Amino acid sequence: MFKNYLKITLAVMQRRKFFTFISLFGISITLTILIALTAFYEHMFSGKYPEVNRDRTLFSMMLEERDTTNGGTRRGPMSLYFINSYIKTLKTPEKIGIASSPNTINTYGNGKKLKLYFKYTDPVFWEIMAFEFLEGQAFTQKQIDNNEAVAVINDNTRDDYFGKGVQAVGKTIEIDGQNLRVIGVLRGGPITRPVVSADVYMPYHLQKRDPSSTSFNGSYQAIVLAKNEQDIPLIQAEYKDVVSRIPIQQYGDFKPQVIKGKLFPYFESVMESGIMGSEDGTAQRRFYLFATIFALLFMSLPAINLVNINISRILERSSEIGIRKAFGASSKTLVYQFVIENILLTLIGGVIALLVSACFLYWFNNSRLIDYADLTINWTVVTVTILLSLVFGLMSGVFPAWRMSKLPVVEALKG
Amino acid sequence: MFKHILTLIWKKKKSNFLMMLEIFVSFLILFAVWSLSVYTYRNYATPSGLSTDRVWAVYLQFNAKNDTLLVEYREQLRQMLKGVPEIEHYSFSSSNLPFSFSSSNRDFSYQGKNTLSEVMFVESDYPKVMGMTLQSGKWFEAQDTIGKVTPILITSHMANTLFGQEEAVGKIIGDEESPRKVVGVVPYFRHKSSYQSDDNCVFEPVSKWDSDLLLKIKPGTNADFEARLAQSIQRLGKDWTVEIQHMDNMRSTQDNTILIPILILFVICAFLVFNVGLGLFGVLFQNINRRKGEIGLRRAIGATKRQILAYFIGETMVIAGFGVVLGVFFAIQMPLLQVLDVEASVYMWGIVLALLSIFAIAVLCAFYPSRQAARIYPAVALHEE
Repeated sequence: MFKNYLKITLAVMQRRKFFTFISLFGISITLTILIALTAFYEHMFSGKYPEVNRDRTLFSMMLEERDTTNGGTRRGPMSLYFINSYIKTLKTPEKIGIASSPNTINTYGNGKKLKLYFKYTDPVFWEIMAFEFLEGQAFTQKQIDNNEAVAVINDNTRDDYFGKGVQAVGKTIEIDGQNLRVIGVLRGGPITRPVVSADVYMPYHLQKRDPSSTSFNGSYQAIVLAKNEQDIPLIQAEYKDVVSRIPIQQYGDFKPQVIKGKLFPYFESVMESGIMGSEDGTAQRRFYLFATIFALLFMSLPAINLVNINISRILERSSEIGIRKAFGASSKTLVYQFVIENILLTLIGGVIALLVSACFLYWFNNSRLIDYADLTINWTVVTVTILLSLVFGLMSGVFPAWRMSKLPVVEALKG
Repeated sequence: MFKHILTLIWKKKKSNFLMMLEIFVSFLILFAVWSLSVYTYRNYATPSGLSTDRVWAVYLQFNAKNDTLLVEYREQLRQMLKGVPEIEHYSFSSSNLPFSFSSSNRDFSYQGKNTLSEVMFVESDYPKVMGMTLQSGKWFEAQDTIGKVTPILITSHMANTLFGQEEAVGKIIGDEESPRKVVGVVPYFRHKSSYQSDDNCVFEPVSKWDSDLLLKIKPGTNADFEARLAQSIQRLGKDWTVEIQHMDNMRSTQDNTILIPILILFVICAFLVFNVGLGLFGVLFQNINRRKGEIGLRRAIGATKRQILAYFIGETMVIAGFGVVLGVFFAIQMPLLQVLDVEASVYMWGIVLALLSIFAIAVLCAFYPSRQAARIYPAVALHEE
């Protein structure tokens, strides 16, 4: 019997090719767009290479000093002095690493100009991040103590500076007027993970800034790894307590009275200064709320369209329903057939969407629009959207069919 | 005829409801997209007041131990730059260069009126580097910066906000401790991106901490010159950090951060609208098929093919009209309630363009099914019935 329904469905789909096309187009294009958008979201905000521990990582990206009487604010990354005195001294975290905020520098190697993202980091940074080294290894505290001029580069920089696939460890690269010995080549991460991704990594002692300065503002961000997710609120509380006791500094004309420093999970720390930002760290929840509202609004149009098309299709088939009723089909049989039809149509639409979005993501990952992009399909979103389109399909296709199957045969036949 | 269509549709409002709803939602989406496009295009079409052609930004950090060294380093660099024949003009500047990602702003007030403005610290050759013109007054000179009153230049947008119709040049703003005198007005200075709206900007003389540099390069230099320049700056100070960027590239980076989301929005909307168009087409086709008898009757009692065509297109128009009227009601609230700080005419254009596109889609979708309807032979249609 089931096989029969399938045959009828396929026959119907072929007979009214245009309607089939409209339904499939609507379902698959909506699904494709949602898959692509969520893939971008995940790419930006969920923990992937090399930030495998992002679930239990907290970030401090900014320090804010505010002068409440004269209305001046200074916010920005922190100095080594500040991090060493007030963040590295926290007791609860497992590890605390530092990395300088994203910045670029030019190097004129091989007769061409290269624009490189660089970072100064400490050795702990490499313990927190799961970088995959293609050659050599990361720098150690010993090399920093010995004041060695060393650097770690990513594979793209190696290919551009030394030539494709050429072994780079042991060679020197000129960065900012200094000749650095390459000691490691790693597989790069996309620049959309700005806290960790860079083209060149250098140990912090190579930074030209005056090391004896005790100013709070600098160019560093702190990456704090908790032992487990339950420790996160404890660390935040400990840091809050530390911040409240920091002696406030004055700089010339600027005399702040308030210092604000926070440790947040990734999403909140990125959004801290944006429109979604909040004092209490609920940015992610609000973002999800907005995203859901947007998705529902966006999907309402294709949904109305699907319902509209389905009702027309069913009305068109009133005589078919009439004939089958006249030959003794029960309402149940008819409804069953329409359910199968709708499920099949939605599933085909879903498969097309998966194929199209897989092609799109594959193209995007390889297009070098964003280097090292690793967009993937989010299966939760796929399942939810297919379920939603099934609900709409059933509501709009099966309900009118069921109502029509209740009609007296004569009326259904009349159309 | 119009009244006739209206009654017919009103009688079938239940079955036409979904189509109207669809038109309504599409109208709102098109309204949003068109308003955004008009807004962006208008900004793009306004003069930027600056030229990025052959302008290079040199990000410099002296990493100096104390402030007196900063001034010394800057003097050294000045001497060096004067000896480079490829450089037409140069100016030191604060780090919030045009089209950079950093920004620095402050509140300015005049007789109770407050406005927030970007503040750039620059030198007297800055207008030559950036290719700027003056609307009134003059640019400050090096010797002007010694007095207690700081000379500043402002954009005409800011002059209008603070002083209205009054002459801006000569006005003193700010508190007694640090008074600032407006010495000149520039017509435009849209420094964030090509799509930025006309905005406030203030130019003040450089302070000793401002170490970034802007260069206007003579035409015809090659890539090699950039490397040589970077090296010779580097040679002056071992501790310095130097990075050269071309302002053309900085501008296009900024433009892309605005343009790419808009383009993505466009593509998504195009798909949505295409989808709706297809749906309308299908439904209309279906409706007309079911009304063959009616069409046959109309033809039999004397309606011409042309009239049938006009009738069905008209009917679609009226259905679209119902959806659109509701849509316009909501859209008109945007300028009335002043939800966003955007000129009302932008919304009006948005409404007009959205109306045009909705009706264009409706006509396109209705045309083929209606022509099918017009081709029906009365005898055949009535026979079927």
